[in-house]
Amino acid sequence: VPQPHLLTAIAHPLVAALYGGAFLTALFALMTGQRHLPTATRCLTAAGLVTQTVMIASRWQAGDHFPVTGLFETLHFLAWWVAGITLYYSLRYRANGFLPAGLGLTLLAIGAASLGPQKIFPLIPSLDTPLFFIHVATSFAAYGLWGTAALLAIFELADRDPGQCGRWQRMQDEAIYLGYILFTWCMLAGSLWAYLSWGSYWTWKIKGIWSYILWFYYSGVIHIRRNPRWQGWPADLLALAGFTLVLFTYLGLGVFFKTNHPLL
Amino acid sequence: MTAMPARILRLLWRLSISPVTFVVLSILWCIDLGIGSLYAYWRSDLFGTLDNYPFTVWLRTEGARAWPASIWVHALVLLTWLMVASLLLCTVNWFLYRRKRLKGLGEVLVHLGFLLVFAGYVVGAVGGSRTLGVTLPIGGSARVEELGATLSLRDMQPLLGPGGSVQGTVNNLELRQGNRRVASRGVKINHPLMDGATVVYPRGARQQVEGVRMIVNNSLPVELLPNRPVTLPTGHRLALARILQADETAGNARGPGVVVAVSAPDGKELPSSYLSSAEGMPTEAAFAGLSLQLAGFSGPMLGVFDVHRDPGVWLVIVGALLITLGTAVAFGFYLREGMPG
Repeated sequence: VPQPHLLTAIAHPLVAALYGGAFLTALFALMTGQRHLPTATRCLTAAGLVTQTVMIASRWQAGDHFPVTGLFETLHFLAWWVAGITLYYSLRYRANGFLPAGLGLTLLAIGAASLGPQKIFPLIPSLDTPLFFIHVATSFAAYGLWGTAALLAIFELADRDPGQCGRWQRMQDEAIYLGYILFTWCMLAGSLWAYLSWGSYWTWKIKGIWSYILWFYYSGVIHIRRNPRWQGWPADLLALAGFTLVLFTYLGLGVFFKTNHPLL
Repeated sequence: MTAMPARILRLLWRLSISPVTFVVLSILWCIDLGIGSLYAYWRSDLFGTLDNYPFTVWLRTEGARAWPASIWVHALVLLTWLMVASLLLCTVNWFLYRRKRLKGLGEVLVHLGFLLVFAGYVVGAVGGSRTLGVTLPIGGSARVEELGATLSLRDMQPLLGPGGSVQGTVNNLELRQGNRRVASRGVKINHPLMDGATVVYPRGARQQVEGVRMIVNNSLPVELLPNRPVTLPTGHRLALARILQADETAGNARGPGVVVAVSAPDGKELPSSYLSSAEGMPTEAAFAGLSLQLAGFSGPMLGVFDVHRDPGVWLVIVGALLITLGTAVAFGFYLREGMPG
């Protein structure tokens, strides 16, 4: 029987409000050029991250399993990564112009999470393995990072200042690299889990196949991003195409096909 | 004249170790697999068995039957071999010319990992076996011919999920080679029985239908067994005419189910009726003055198991470890590089 969770009922709207506030201050700073506002944005984002972390930890404790089952929990986890990397970019690279975009994506994920049930569901036996949690947590972290890389690609394409290209590229590289590492662990954990549960680390089911396609696509992207001829707009287009592939693998297959990875 | 072949060889070498070659191949691989997977999704009659066999066995049997629709699978095999060749030559190149630069070590570990995974897959696809749907009653044994081994089920209990719902079984299994016990343990989902490259997976339980329990005219419970007809107080006579097990079909009828022959009190044969618990099949039948409702079947429960043998799986596991290590090393080096100039 799914259990309602009181802290979630408070924390979820609070997280949305904090990120919403951060988004508005970032947008206002971008339009007015006020120098002190990015600090307020960072503080609100950090407060959102802390609140979200407390909510995730509390759900973990209440459900006795890492909370990455179902739409609500997985999208919250994705939002946590996007908000985290956006804050990191703002602190490390002073990429304050990127704050509204990163926080916008975070809010989108939080909004979509609201469509899923907030109750804590008990774990069914087939999901009761640490491999499941590694598999899902790393995949959503990777999706979030690749989404961030796609946003950065849009920024780089729109930026007319050639002096800034190296910075956008560097941030994009970090998001793609870290996303690739996490997705690699996702695929390895998923394959090992499939071997122990269903008898094969390679499956011909459609979701598994498209996850392998995604993995190989980003393997290819990593290979050519090093090539000077592919840096700049070709690399940006690759990041955008990659996120389109992510959306198809996650949403497209989940909505239009019968898969063994249900959305809800 | 001798310089020309050398130049061509050098060009071929450069082409084969170039990352662009790998990328072009991987794009073609993705396109072929992407289109093929969508086609396979719609044509499950042709490709629905891909997971049931070691890959080379599928290619020889089902793949040959599905030709030319299976052309994308054959193209995938070709592209995979080409990608592996590209990876292999790239790795050889690193060991020959660039091994003093530690910077590429992470990537080389990843490449070696992928090569091992591929080698393991090939070994499993060629030398593996899959025996599906081995059914065992509690206390029973079955010979698995592909392994020359005997599988025994000592006990079976329901595996309860949230709210007490049954979500599988916990089975006490034993695997023997001749008189020697090679593996034995309690088995459930995510916890198979393993002996080296041999793994036994539980696939749930099903009932061996030997009889049927019905409610007659909404009140009278009746059990029908083969060759033991029952005469009702109304004068009707019921007999068990045929049994379909869970995996059997007859015309449109799907098992598990039974065909019940009905005679009127005057001895006239009425149309027989099929009662089944399969989805979409009838659970009730009605005649003048008589109604039958399926209440359940009688017969022992059977454990259902799949037995897989994959001799390449250890290569795959070592490869996976190398990939994990390599990705971490590569990222570490990348972070140390600093901002591009």
